[in-house]
Amino acid sequence: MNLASWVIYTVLTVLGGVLAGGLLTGIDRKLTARLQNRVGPPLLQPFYDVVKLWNKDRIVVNPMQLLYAHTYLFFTAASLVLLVLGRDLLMILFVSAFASVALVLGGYSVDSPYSQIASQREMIQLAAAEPVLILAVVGAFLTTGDFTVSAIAGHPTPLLFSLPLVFLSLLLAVGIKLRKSPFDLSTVPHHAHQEVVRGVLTEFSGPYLALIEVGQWLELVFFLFFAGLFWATDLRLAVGLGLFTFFLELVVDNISARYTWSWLLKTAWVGGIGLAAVNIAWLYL
Amino acid sequence: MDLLVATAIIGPVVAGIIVYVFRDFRVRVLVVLATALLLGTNSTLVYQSLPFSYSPAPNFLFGFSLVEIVTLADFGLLAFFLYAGLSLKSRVATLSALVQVFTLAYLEFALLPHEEITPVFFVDHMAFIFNAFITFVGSAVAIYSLHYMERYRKIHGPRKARPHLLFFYLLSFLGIMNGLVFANDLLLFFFFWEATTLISFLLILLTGTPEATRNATRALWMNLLGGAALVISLAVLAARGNPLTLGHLVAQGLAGRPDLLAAALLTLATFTKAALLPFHTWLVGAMVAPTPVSALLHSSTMVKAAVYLLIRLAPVFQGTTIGQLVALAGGFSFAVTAAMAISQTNGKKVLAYSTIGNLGLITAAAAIGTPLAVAAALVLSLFHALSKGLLFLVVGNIELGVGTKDIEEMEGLLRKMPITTLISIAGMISIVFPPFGVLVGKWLTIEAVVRSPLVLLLVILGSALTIVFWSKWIGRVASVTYQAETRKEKIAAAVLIPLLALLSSAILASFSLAPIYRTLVAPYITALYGSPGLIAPDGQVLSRIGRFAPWEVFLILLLILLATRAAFLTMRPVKVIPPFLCGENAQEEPQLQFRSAQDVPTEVSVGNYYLEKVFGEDFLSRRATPVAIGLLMLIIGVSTR
Repeated sequence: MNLASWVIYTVLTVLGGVLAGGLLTGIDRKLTARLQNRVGPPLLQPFYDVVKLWNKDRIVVNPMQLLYAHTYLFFTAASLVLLVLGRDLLMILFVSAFASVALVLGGYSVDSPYSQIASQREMIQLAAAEPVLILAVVGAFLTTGDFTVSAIAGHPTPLLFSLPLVFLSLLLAVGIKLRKSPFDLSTVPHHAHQEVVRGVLTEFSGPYLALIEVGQWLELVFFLFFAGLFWATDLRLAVGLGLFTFFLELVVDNISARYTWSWLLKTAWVGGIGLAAVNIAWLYL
Repeated sequence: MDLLVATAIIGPVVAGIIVYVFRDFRVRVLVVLATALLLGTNSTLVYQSLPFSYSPAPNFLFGFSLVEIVTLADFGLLAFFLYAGLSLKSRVATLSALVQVFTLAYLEFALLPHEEITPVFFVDHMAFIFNAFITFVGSAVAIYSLHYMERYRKIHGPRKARPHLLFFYLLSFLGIMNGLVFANDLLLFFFFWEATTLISFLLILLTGTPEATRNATRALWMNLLGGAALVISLAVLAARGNPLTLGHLVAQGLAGRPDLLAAALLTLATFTKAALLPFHTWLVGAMVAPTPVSALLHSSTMVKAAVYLLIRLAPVFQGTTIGQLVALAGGFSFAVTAAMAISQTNGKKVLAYSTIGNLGLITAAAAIGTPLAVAAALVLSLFHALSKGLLFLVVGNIELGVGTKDIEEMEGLLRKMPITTLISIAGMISIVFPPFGVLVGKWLTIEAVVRSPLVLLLVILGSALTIVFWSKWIGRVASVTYQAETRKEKIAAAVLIPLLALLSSAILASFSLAPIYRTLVAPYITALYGSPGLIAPDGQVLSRIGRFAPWEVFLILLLILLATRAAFLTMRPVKVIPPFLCGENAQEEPQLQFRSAQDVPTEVSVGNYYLEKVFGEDFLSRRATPVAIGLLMLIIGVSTR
């Protein structure tokens, strides 16, 4: 691939990701509101929000917050771009983990007890979800014999057929990564769920918060893309699977309440890893 | 050839003796710098003549052969160990030393056919990789220690510091390590192996406090136990009529006829030296010594001697049950120590557990033994040496600067010691995040162990926990108290230069992973297996099953820095405000307070989770140690089948 097409792919992916992510977030907020018997904001509200945040006063508690906001946004965007470019899925997961850590450090960088507690919780979420995600990649490898997204996507039969339990565990991990109830320990995207002030985002405001908002859209698209890989033989079905994941997480988000960190860790490590391990075990045998 | 080998081994030892005899600061500076220069030049020359072998003449010194001299030295060492074991009243140490004396005597005088062993030294690309980081990290640590020990002496007094002894040990250690990685003759290897045990014992003992004595004793008995396993393994090999060379052992493995009992005993020896579970306590205890000692033991010497042997033995382990079990034990150490590190507030302890974890990871990769796995193990060894050396040195500097190694007390360090803190953050990022070498090694390891489900699971769990404990620490030092003013940090050039040298080399080497792989790692693996495990065309690392291009992630890092810089210029924060506290802020200086319930001013304090109940050190250690002992016994047991 030459440099020009590399740049084009990157730009298109980021633009597409931002549009799709913003729109999906809008749908999420609208549907959630309907489920709660509210009218809810307009579909494009996330975009209005970001524009409004962008023009707000530029206030920080620690100037280093700028660095963390950018790191989160860029590493999330990078993980999505690398996914689209068909790179090594395992390495892409590490890149996206770095993005979460940027958020953790952002919460840590100020002496607010609220954001620091949330940072610790975000790390627990990371530790809970990461092994399950890696096992999903391992499952993909055992089916296709390759770690690269391009080879996994090019596999003749859908991964879902050989990895049904792994996909279930992936749904769990995606819920954790998207900070949906009952896994929304560190922060809540927009809903009127109770939480420790505003979690890791407590001390982010104005344009810097806008950067993180956009990063969260990209993160959403990234994980839906990941889920879609499980039926990559047909683009429509892949998108369908991604959307199915999206709606499932949305419904679960609305019907469950947050739980404690130790419960989260147990669920992910016993339930998530257990499911994936059983599935992977039958591939080995 | 003889000159290259002799310089690498004897040069630093002579330098150490000079430093010991002339107890003057200026002499020390001169000798350390000269040694660094000498070893650096020597390594360059070694690289240019790779691979080569060298056997000393039969009348090596005053008519004695090298074997005779080494035998004599061996018994001298063992006599000292026996004395140390008796005077420290350590039964295991005494007994292990006795076993070693008898086995060695039996081996030397009854078993050995006294045939010529050739070559005595064999230096290939793998030996060079180790030689290179021993030289580089070792020199950086030595230079850093010059200034550090002067300050240490001012704080702790000359009786505890004893810089002449420290430098004598430190420099000799480099020579001994060079000997260990160059040796092909296993008896010679055994001598250097035991010498590393001796030097690390003396280094831990350096300050002479009761705690130092206790921990040094533990290090001694554990390592002597390993030494006994090593010499018994040699006896087994000799009794079965094998020539005692590393090359022969590897050739047997490649030919599919590995000597499994010998390999299992050697594994036991490496587990003691690498401080893998159940022997982890000695390395954690080693931190009582001045920081440069830890920096050296953890990064380029001592524990790396163990993984050197394990990586050498990779062809022996490949495809065997023993190999799988060793990999499992390595993965187990990795996962358990990563969990333990989460509950530690002591920075040096976190570093120690991280070292053991990485060694476990290297062990897992080496024991899988495929070309890809060996590539992973070598990449990990190299980059871990650079980053871990750096981290110990910065923690040493933090300890001298603010008087603590407690992570909780490092709150706001960014404002107190900005330069040191930035270097330490960069160092921590380089040991756990992409695109840096240690992570690439971890990535390769996961891909290499993917056919061994249990090992894989342990490695995956461990790597998730690893991210947690490093992020926690980075977060704590980067956390800033509202409006605390940034102090100018005074940092001596003798401290700053080694730190920057290590940091920049970790970054540059990660960036140029592909050429480094091509020139250093691939030749060794190709010579061994006939295929390189990975190919590394420009800017990429490709295996049969995966790929990574470091420059892509470096590009993102660059973009982030540029974008943040641009943001500072175009959307500069107009106001810096105190954090929100669920109540009116009562005072902002010197300590932030807010009005809590009933209008009571309450101080704000923040701290980390340590999750003692789940990840507590004792809690995990008590459960993991029996499992690890069981695994080791299983390894030995299976090998006798």
